[in-house]
Amino acid sequence: MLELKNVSVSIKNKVLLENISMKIKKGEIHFLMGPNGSGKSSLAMAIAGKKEYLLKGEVILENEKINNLPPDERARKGLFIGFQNPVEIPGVNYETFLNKISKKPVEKTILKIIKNRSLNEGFSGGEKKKLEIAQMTLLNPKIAILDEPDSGLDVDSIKKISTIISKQSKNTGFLIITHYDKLLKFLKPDFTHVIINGKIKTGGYELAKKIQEKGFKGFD
Amino acid sequence: MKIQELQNEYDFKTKSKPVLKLKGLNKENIEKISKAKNEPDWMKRLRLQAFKIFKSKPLPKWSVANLKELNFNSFDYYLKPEDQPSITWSEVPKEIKKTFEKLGIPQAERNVLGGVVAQYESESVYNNLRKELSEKGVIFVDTDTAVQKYPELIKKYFMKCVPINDSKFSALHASVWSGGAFIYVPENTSVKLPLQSYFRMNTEREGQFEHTIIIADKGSKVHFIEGCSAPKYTTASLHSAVVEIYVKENASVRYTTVQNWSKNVYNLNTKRAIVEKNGFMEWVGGSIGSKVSMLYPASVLVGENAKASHLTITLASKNTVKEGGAKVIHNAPNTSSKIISKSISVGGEAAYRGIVRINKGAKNAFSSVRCDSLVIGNNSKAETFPHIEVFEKDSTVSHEAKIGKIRDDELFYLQTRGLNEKEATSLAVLGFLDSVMKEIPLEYALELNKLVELEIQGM
Repeated sequence: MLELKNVSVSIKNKVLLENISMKIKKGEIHFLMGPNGSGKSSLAMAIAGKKEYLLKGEVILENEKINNLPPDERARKGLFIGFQNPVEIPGVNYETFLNKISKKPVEKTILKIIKNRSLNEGFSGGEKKKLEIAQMTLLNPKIAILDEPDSGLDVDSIKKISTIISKQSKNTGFLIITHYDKLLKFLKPDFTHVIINGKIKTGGYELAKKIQEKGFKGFD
Repeated sequence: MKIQELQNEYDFKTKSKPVLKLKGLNKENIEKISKAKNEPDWMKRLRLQAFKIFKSKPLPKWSVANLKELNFNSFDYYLKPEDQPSITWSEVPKEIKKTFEKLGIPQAERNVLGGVVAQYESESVYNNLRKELSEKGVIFVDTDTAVQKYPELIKKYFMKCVPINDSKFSALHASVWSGGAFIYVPENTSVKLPLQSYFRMNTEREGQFEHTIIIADKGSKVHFIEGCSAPKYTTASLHSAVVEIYVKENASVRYTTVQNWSKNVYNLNTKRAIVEKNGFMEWVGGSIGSKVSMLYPASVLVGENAKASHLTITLASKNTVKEGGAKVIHNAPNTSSKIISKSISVGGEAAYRGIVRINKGAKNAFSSVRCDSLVIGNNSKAETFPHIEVFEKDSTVSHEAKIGKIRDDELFYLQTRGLNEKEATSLAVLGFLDSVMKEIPLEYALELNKLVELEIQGM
C-alpha cells in the first residue's frame, strides 16, 4: 500500500501542490486527473524522488516512510514510475538494461522489439510507452504510478495495455495519470482524484465519468 | 560484483629474480645493456649517440602533465629475467609462465592469434609464430633477435620513422631500448589472424623501453595487438616505447593497443607510421591505466590516396593525467584521415591534443576530427587542444569537439528502475563508449567494461 499524508510539493520555492492525501492498496486502480499544468506529473516525480522537487509530508510504502530515500531505493522497495516522456539514453543497449533491472527473464516478444537498440532512442512515442508497461511487468512492483500511459497510443494499443494493467493489478496498486477518456473505456478506476489549483478532490468511478462528460468546469 | 576481486585480478606480483639489473641512467649502464645483448658495434654507438641527444634536450613543456617529478636516475633501466626467449611454452620459467597465464596467455594464442611475443621486464621470454606464416616469409620476433638475425632490415628501419632527436623521450628510448616486437610481412601477403605482443613490468621503479617495428610490404595486410600491464607499486615506473610502422604501397596495417598499466606508471610513448600510396593505417588505442600518459600516434601520409584512421579511448581516473590524441600529416594529394577521440574523466584529467597538417600540394586532402569528452563528478577535468594547419587551399578539414556530463534526467530514469547512482553512471558511461567499443578486441572490451565500473564504484 502507498499512502500520501498531507503531501505538499514545491519547486524552486514555488508551491505546486498542497495537502494531498490518499491511500492506494494492492488491487486498486486510481485515476489522477486535472487540467494541463495542474501538477499531476510533478506529484509523480516528487514521489519517485526527483531531486528538484521538494516534498513535505509523508510518503509511506508498506508501512515505511520512503520520502527521504534515494530514487533507486524507493524503486527497490516496490515503487514503479512509468514516465510520460521516457528518457533516451544513447548507447545503452536496451536488452542489457532490462537484464540488469529484471529478476525475470525478458520475454521473447519484447526482445524482438528492442534487439540491438539503445534505451528509448529512436522509438516512436507509442513504442516507448508500451515499453514502459513492459518494464513494469518485469519489475512486478507493489505500486505503479503511470504518467499518461495512453498518450501516443492507438486504440488497439490502449486496449492492450489496459488488459496488462488489469492483470497486473492482482499484485499492484495503480495510480494512473490520464487526460483522455479513451482509457476509461477499458479500465474502471476504483477511485478518481482530481487536482485543481493545487488541491485534490477524491471520488469514485462516477467522478471520472463526470469529468469525461463535462470537463473540469465547476471544480474550482 | 566483488570489486576487491577485480582489483586483485590485475594486481599480482611475481617473485622472480632478474639475473642482471642496471639501475640509473649513465654511459656505463648503456654500454652494459649493449654488451649483455651481445650487440653489434653500430647499435652500441647509436645508443651512446642517442644518450648525448637525450642530455641536450629539455623536457616537453606543452603537456598538461607534470613531468618534473620524473627522476631519471631512480629507475632500473635493464632487468634481464632468468631465461632467453623460449620457443615452447613449457620452456618458459615457471614464475614468468604463471604471470602470463594469469593474463590469459597462451590460451588466447591458441584460440585467435597468429603469433605471440611476450616480454617480461626488459626481455622477451616467449615467441611463437604459426608455421604457415613463417613459411610465407612473415617475420615475427622480438626486436633484439631481429638485430642479430636481420641487421640489414634493422639498419634500414630502426629509428627512421621516429628520429632519435624527435624528442627527449625518443632519445632516451634509443639509448636504453630493449625488447619489443619486429614484424615483417612480405609483398601481397595477408596475415589473417592478429599478431600479439604482451608487455609486463613486474618490478618497482622499472623502466621499460620496448621497440616495435612493423613493415608491411606492398599489398600486404596485418593486424597487430599490444597489451600492457603492471602490478601496483607506490613508486613511479617509466614506460617509454617507440613504435615505427611502415605501410608500403597498397598495404594496410591495423595497430591495436590497450594499456592497463598500474597507477604508478608514466606512459610516454612515441608511435608513428609512414603510409605510402593507397596504403591504410589504422590506430586503435585504449589508455586505461597509468599515472601519466602522453600518447599521440602519428600518421605521415606520403603517398597519393594514403589513408589513416585514429581511434583513441581514454579513461582518466583519480590522480591521473591522460593526454591522448593523434597527429596526421597530409603530404600527398587525395589523402584522407579520420580521428575519433573518446575520453572519460572520473576524478582525473583527460586532454585531447592533436595536430592535423595539410601541406601544400596535398590537393583534395580530407580530414575529420571528432572529440567527445565525458566528465563525471566534480573533481574531473577534460580539455581539448586541437591544432589544425592547412597550407593547401584545395582540401577539407572538419573538427568537432564536445565536452559533456551525464544528464541528471538520464541518471534519474535509470535510478527509478532500481539501479543506484554508481550503477546508473557506469551504464551511461558504457553507453557513451558503445559506438567505439566494437573496434577493440573482445577480451580488452570486457576488461575496459570492468575497469569503468571499478573506477566509478571507487569514486
